[in-house]
Amino acid sequence: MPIGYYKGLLWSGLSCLGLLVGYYYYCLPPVEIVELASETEYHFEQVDGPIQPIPRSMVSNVKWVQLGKALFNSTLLSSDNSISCASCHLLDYGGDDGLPLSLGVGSLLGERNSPSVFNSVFNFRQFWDGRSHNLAEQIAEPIHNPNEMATNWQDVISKLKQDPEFNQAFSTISSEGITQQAIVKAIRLFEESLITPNAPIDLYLLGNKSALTLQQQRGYAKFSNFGCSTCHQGINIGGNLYQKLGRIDRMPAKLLDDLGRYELTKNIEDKYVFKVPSLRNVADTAPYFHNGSVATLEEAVIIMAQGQLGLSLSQEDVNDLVAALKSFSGRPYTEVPHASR
Amino acid sequence: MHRASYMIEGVCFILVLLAGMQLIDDLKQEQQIDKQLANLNTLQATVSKIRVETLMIGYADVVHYDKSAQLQLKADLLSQALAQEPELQQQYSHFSASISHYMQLETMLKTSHRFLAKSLSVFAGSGLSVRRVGEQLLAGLLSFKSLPSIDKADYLRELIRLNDELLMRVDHPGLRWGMLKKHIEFVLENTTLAQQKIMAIQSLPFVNTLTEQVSITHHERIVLEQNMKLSWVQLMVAVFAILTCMFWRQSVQLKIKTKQAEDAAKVKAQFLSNMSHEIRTPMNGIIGLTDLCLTTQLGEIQRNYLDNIRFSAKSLMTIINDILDFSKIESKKLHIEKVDFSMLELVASLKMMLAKNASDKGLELIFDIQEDLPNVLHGDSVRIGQILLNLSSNAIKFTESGHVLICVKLLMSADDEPVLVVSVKDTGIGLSHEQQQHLFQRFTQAELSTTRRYGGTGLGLSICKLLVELMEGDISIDSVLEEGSTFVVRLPIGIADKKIQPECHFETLVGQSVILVEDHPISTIVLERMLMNFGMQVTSFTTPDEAIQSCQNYQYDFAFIDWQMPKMNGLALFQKLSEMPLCPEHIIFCSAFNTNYLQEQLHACEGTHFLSKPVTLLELEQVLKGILITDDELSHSHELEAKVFTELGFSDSKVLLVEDNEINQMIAIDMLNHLGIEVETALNGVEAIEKVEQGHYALVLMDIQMPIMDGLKATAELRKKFSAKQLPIVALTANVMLTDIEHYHNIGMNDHLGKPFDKAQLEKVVSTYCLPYVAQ
Repeated sequence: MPIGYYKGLLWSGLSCLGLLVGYYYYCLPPVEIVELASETEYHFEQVDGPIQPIPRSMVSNVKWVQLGKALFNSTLLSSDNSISCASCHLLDYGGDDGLPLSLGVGSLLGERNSPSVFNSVFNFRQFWDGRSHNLAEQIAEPIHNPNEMATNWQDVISKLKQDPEFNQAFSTISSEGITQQAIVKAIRLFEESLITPNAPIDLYLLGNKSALTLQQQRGYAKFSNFGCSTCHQGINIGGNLYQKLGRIDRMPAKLLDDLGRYELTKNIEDKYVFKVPSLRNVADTAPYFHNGSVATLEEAVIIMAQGQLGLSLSQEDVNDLVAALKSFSGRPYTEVPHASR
Repeated sequence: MHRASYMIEGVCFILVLLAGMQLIDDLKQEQQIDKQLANLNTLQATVSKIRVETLMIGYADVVHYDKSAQLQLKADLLSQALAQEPELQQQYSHFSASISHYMQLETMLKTSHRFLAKSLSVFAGSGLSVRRVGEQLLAGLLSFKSLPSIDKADYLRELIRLNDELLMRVDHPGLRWGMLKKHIEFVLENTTLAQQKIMAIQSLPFVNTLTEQVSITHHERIVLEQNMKLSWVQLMVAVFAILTCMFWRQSVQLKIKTKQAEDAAKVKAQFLSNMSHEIRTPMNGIIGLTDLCLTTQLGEIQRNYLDNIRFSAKSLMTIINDILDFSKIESKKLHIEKVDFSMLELVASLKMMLAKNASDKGLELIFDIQEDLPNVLHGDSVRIGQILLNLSSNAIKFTESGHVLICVKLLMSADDEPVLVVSVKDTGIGLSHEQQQHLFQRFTQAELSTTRRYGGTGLGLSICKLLVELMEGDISIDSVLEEGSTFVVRLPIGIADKKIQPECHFETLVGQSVILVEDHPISTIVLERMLMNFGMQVTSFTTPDEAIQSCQNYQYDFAFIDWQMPKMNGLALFQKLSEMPLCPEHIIFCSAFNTNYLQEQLHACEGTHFLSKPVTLLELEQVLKGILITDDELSHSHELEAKVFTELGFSDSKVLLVEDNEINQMIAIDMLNHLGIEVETALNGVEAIEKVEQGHYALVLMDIQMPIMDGLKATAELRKKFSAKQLPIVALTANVMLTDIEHYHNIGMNDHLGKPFDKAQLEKVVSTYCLPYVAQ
């Protein structure tokens, strides 16, 4: 038998194998597993009552968190390198920018008021209308929004690749280097670390009765009795429910310029329905409502009591409630998360 | 092989590729289905939890909805992953929206009811009319809450309208009628709606669709598994087909190779046959002409030269025969025959061939044949003879002085089969242990220098070994350097005649006394045993002096005297003995010396007999027989008789010699003329047929390879008219392969005469075929 025949067989066999292996990898991209739980591990504490405290400790991957922080502050994520995430989510000022509507690339105005980035991980959906399910999904939105960062993943990745520090930072923690997934993961893990535990209300609920002033305690009682906590409950004092603006009574016209979820779902029942916003750090995140048209907490309290509960509050009630709302502000979690993962 | 003939493999590889791709597709699908199944199962579990949570929203002890919110988020993400099931996603989003809307209403309703419940205490503490209206209102609302209806709503609305002013006037910090009215209105408007929603949620098709989808996916998974098994089988079959194809090709190739090898072997055999023919033809010329030359008048020197030429030519023939034999054995062309033969005759012919060589070198050649050896054995006598001759002539060749003892015995093997044991023992140069190792390898002599000193091809022993192995025997050697060697051959053999060699018939010999004078101890023992076998009483002496002394005292019947002894030769001893009064009656000389020389010497010794050494039982018997029957020279008269007969017999015969080679023609004519036969010649087959038709021939000697018409065709033609008895045809050929000879016989030739032939062989053939004709 000529040796060439066996060589031929061998090569044919090998090329068959090669083709099949190639086909295998071409056909079978790694299975994406639906991530149901966040990668950050929080130590929740349960108390009686509608409001639940923010966890006081957590475990996360410090390297990813640090990288996320750098990305969060990087203007490379916008088309003209003018703004970063932190431009609208100022971590020293309650996690938002204090403007009714934020300024994006080229000073274009955003559509709705920037919510605080703090504790956003505990919201059941993201955005005012809840169009993103979680932070990972949310991150892509401002990057592509022409009124915000006005760019796309390709440009962001190529810009990051030109930056030696980012290049090195990515390559040390991710075998694949700079990818969309890695960027999202880093920012998400950083955002997940942005929580504000130890608010006076949490301390009070956890047993420290002197954590609230008498007025605040009165305010908190009214908060429950008046029915505010019907919607503003849970760990984020809101953020886990949709509700219609003006469910019981009329709302001021300035708040009825936006149809809310209806814009998204075109379901008639969703008109003026928004995600109930979190009241965590509410004293630090003026102005209020989806379009930032209400400047003070007092006004916001009055509008809400009237519209949602049909209540006309006395000045004393307003003062007490505002005092209680001020107790919802915590301090950013400063401890470096354990680098356990 | 042509490229297109590898199509099968190509197709198989394509099949492998296709099956592999199918398998990978299936794997991919399997992963997706598994993923989907996991998602569906989780979704199913989550959805049922959501339904439970949703039902519990209305309960007062559910104060926050974190759990419900987390479950909704989880379900959302799972539903997002079900991109392949748009219908399911659609139904889920409907389900999710319904839940959301229900929750919006239900949470508010819960708050409203709480307000209303609280207002009860205010009503209870008010005036009678207010209290009554309040109680009616709350009772109505309670009833509405548990079972809403339009009638109840209308009734409540009417109640509010009628008492609006009354209630508005109530001034109590715990009762804010304006707010309460709004809440009552909200409850009236939305309770039905909320109930409808929760009913709708319970009856939404989503849950059923989800369950169906799970079972469909399960079914898909099972079908897919079957498909994968099928793909595996396909893949295996294709791979197996490739392997089968490969092995098939291998076997085909192997057959072709085998065929080529067989063809090559055939070509080799043909070449050998040709070589054999080509060499024998000129050798015939050399030997024949030398023989003829020797019969002419020659000077001493020329005669010596010619003797040497003849010796050299015969040596060359031996070597050529060895090489051809070896090739034949190697190519398995040699067939072992099984015929009846007499071992004693074989030994006698061996003696003929060896005796001269041995005596020329002054060696004592001794045959020690078992006395009761069966008369007729069954085996290949030619090959056994060849082995014996090879070993014996080797022994003689490598022995400078001393003796060569050839023993032949018949033993029984362990399993009671007869085994012929032949041993050849010499006192020659011997072999070292290393030399013995390589001894039976072809072309190897004991050492390279041996080749120069003793000549030879080194094939002899190899041939012996191969022949012995062909006969399923074995050959062994035992040797000490400078002292001699013993070769022992053991061959399984058949016994045709179970009768033991008959005992001596000559009763008269029994008890006769014999004096044996022999200086060689082994010769003495062998001869003693032979004589004792006849029942004779043997007294042996090693020196003539002792014999003379013994003869002075005793009258022996027979005396066996070695011709050559130290101090005194046989003749001198005879003269001394004959002068003695008690001279033995019959004196027999034993010698290996040239017969002619001895006969001259023996003329002087009247009444003596001669026995040529080595002594064989047959000859001994003949001599003793001769002495007893006639005291005259039996052998002499026998020879004479033959000669006369020959001369008379052939005188009339005419032989046709068909031969194209002039030299060979000349030799054959000369030889035949010497026998007194008239010869006519023909140059080819055609000429031969013409001559046969014209004249009458006693015998046709037919060459095989000739121009115009070869011997085979001519014979075939002649056989159409003349039978084998009418016209004997003998092939003269150098083709001496067994297959060739069989072919000649089949064609109708009576016999064949291999070239080169000598005078004796020719005479034998002529006498066989011419005499019957004379007798006619």
